[in-house]
Amino acid sequence: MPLDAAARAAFIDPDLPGYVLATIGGQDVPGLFRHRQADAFGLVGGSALSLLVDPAAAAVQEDVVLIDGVSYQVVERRNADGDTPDFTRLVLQEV
Amino acid sequence: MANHLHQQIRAALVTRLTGLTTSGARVYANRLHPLPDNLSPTLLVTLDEEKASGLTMHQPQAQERELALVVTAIVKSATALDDTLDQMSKEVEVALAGGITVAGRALDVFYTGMSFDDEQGDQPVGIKRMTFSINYTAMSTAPDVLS
Repeated sequence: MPLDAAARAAFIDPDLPGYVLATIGGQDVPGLFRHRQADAFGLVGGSALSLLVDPAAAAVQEDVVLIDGVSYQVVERRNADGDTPDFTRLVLQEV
Repeated sequence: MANHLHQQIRAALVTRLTGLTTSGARVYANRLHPLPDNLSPTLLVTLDEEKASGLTMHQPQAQERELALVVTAIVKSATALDDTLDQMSKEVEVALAGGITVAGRALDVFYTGMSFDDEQGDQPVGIKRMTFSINYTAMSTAPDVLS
């Protein structure tokens, strides 16, 4: 049974680890920011960046996302992403 | 006894490839741990494989050796990734077409192909593996001396 808006809002809560208030297209968008280590090819150190948001968030590929003063670009929008089917995950890269 | 010819050849390759326009001093051989996050264009040199053919029948045997090596160009950038890798490839191919010097002797280096791959992360990372071959002769009892 899919989560309703109130349940989704509780899932993205300011008390949760990774909570951020991102800015997308001038709008404040709450989300959970994930920043985990991910080496490329086992050769190059790096990170896998993503922001979990409500599906209603208006963000598409190439949109700029501002998080804590740092600009990122949306490289992929994953609706109903894997283990979080009621949410949208924005895969980000640094700009 | 001098270092194995593989070590001498690897050192000569690094010397030849150091100072190219795009990669500068960032040339590494035998690097096992990941390159830093804030990577600038970098070259990795590895000797992948060698095949030896006997030129004589008995020991000590004179051997013709064909050494396969890889020069990997690595770039981490949100822009012009392919163009930068292609520029590095051009610089590497031109540099190695001039050959290398090992123990005072010139060895030709021949380009044999390339493969490309890229991966998305906090910034896109692209790698271009350029393969080359070097032919040389050595005695089975003296792998540290060119024949």
